[in-house]
Amino acid sequence: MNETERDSQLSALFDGELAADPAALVTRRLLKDPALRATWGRYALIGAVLRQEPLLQPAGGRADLADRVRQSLLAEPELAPVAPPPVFAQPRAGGWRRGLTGAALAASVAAVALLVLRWQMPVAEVPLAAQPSSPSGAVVVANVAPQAASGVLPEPVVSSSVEDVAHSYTTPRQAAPSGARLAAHLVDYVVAHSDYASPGVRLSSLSAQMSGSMDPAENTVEMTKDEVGARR
Amino acid sequence: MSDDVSDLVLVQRVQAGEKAAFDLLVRKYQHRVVKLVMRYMRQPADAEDVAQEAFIKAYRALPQFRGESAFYTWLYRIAINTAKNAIVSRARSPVEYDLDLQNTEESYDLQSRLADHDTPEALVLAEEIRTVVNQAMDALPEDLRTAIVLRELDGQSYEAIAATMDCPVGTVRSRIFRAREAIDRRLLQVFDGGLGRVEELA
Repeated sequence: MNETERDSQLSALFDGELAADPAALVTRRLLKDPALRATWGRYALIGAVLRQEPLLQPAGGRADLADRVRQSLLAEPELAPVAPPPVFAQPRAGGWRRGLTGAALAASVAAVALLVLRWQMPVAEVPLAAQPSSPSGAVVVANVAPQAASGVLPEPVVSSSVEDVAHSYTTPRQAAPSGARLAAHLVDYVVAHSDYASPGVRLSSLSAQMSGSMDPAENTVEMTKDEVGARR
Repeated sequence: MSDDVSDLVLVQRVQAGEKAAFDLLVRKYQHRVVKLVMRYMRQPADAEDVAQEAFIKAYRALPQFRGESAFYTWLYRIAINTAKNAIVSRARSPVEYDLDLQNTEESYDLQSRLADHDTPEALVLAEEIRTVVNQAMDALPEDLRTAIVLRELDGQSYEAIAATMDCPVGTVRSRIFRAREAIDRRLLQVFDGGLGRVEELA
């Protein structure tokens, strides 16, 4: 591959327009080649100038932002391996009692959650989705139980499922899986384009709503259940 | 915009223990994150500090990132919440009590001066870079300029740009690359001329 084709692929990679396999290949080269990494940085700089973003520069004895982040990360431990998806234990002979206990516990938690929610919400605002017989109510329990069972903390984005849980009581959903995917794409779209939009557009009600709806998701890193409840 | 694939590849490298891959994500998004944080922070230096903290938080949380949303969307959330937390913690900071609350304007000026890290050299360099990039843009053939504007300013995918410009996706890819190459050539002259080190600016 000649230099021009290599740089052309780098440009496409920068834009996320390479397929997975070539992207992995170019990324490997990128990580090995300091000249390619410098080109990557200049591509970012060109975009920043065109979008009139602040140009980050070393000043007053401070290194630039990327260098400071890199320095900070030198002291960080290696990342723990990515946790595999939660594996549920196979039912064992004689384990029906444990299963029954678990089901009873889940039902109790669901009942308490519904009671608390009904207590918190004015009667007129309690939608069908929050009724004990509602399928959405079952979805809420299903969302929470595996996380608790696996003991794996949700990622900030995944933790938007906490947000989804909150919203499922006020906005009944038609089809949860495809709806969630569509919502994720919509959020990605709005976030990506909010950077390109003019300030007036950026502050449109949609943008503001998206921004507001995102806050609790990341806050799950630091937000308590009480705060989630308060936001609800 | 679809940065998902390349970002995800980089994220997976970081998750596999390759910290250098995270540096590429930082270099790609640092300007956007600082601009985002500046909606909350008055001082550019404060915005950079918050952005730095947000990137470090993102790095630590990466094992939990499973690619269910775009990496930038995830980073965006972390950055906004880090900025909000910084505002709250700085409001509680004892430093605030040292400021003259009877004369807030003067206090703000003092704060501005203390936080001002921009040197004349840095300002000259930034201005030089902006001038060179804008001149290079003006010198581009119309089709190359349109393609890179649609990409960088409007954030459109190659497919959408191809539809807009009524040409194949491969042509769009080529036009955007040639535009970047032409601008980059001019930028390199600036850096080779001794005005600065590109690694420090990118």
